[in-house]
Amino acid sequence: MTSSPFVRRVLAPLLITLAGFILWEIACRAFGISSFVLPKPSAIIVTMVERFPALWPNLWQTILTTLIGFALSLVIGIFFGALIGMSRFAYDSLYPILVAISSIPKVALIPIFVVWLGAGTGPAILTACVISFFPIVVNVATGLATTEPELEDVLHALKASRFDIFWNVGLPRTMPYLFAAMKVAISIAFIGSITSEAIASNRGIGNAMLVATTNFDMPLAFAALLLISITGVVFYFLFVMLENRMTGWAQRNKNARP
Amino acid sequence: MPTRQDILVELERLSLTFEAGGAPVTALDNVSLKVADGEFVALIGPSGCGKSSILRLVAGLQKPSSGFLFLGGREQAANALSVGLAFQNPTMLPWLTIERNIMLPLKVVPPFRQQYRRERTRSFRDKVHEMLRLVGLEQFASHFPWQLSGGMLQRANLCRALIHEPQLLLLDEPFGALDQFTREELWGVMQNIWQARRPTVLLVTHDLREAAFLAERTIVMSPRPGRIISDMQVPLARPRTSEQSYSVEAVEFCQHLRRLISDPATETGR
Ligand SMILES: Nc1ncnc2c1ncn2[C@@H]1O[C@H](COP(=O)(O)OP(=O)(O)OP(=O)(O)O)[C@@H](O)[C@H]1O
Ligand SMILES: [Mg+2]
Repeated sequence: MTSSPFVRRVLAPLLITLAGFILWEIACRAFGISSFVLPKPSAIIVTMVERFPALWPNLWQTILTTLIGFALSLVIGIFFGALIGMSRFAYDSLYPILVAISSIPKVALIPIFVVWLGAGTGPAILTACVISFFPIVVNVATGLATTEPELEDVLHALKASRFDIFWNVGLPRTMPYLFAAMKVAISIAFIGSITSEAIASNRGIGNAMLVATTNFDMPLAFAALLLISITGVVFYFLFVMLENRMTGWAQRNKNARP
Repeated sequence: MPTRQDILVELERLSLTFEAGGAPVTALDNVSLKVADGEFVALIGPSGCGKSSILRLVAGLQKPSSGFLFLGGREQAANALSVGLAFQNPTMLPWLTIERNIMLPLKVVPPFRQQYRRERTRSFRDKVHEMLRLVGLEQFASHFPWQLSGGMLQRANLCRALIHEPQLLLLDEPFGALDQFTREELWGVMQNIWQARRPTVLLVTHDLREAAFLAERTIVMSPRPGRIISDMQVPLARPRTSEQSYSVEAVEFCQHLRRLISDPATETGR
């Protein structure tokens, strides 16, 4: 089957989602499911649109919180990833420690962050940061550590400095790995900040959901969920676009270049 | 024979042994060689005898197991010397266009690197296009490496080795993947460059006619472990032409090289 990228990447997912919603709507009506248990998609969408003015400040708060946490994790992650990827010693000595840290469920850390920073935005930023840190470190380190020695030899032969080699070979070679990590990291950063908001904050979409469920306002809770999903997809595609711009060379099979 | 001062490259009893995995492999055994400034030397010998290893040692990409390496009269003084290296397998960076790949030496090598930001879209670019024209790749400047054939990549690889006008050129079978006509055309290009700029060249080749066409001096190596078994001046006048490489003297010289490689015991160099 031949189809354009637009059909495959945009139209098809939208149609499949729509079909799912229609089935869901039919099921709710046919079995008379109470909206306290599972609201109808039509009700959810109507709620989402009607209550958008109230939901939007919360969503905006969550987006900002997540982006700050994600940016922090990017800076720290690239730094440690570069360190681990470029030095055999750092790789051997730091990797086990990283694995140990990553095994801790980040949700368990939220109460500690609350003690440190007080309830609210602080713990949400920190949670988003620690939860998205690991994939970035691992991928940057892998990209650097697997750089073909032949590529580096080109610059070694020119007596280039370590920094020149990192800048001209290691870094560009690692970009596809970094972007793969970023696509995963941004969505788990959202999970981190929303969880933290639900536990200890009076702002953000996570908190809005918590309030809605305690008020048994299920359509509102589901509307918040839907908004979160849409935001996740939007950010995912933003990173895909950035990735295509920056690392087109690594995806030559898909898009033909000049 | 060259005098002490104008020796640019000197290998003194160099040996190279690879230890990795199982039995150690001795690639080079007690190799001594002096190359004068401005000389054009061809290294020939059977596959696996350590020719590429010599180039890697001279380029500083490998450390000898024993022996000494002097560049420009000093040990490990590679920093003082600008080196151009064309690897046996073209190693273009896949994220850069051919133009930017060839410009890479200008980005990192001292006299040029200070001007790189300003000149990369001006004089450096003209320089690259001039080189590409010489090897017949002018239409491919903005292509990516994976859009070029093996022979085209090899020509781009040669451009990258030459672009910063290095004092010392290390060429590892730079014409190996080319058809006979393109190859002979590039021999001419190479000869012109050598006659104009007089870099010191170490050329590894399997093609005896190529050695006889380009080199001032040919070094023949034994099968592994590599030793030097013959060191001869090429008795042909310059400038040489492709027709000339079928002349009686040239053919006799190539025959002599061939016998040295196929049966090192019966013939001795000189
Ligand atoms: N990195 C390495 N590790 C282990 N052994 C190596 C390595 N590089 C080269 N060798 C060995 O050293 C020997 C010489 O290799 P080299 O590449 O110098 O040969 P060559 O003369 O260039 O051969 P060819 O003409 O086929 O290119 C070979 O026997 C090879 O197995
Ligand atoms: Mg070789």
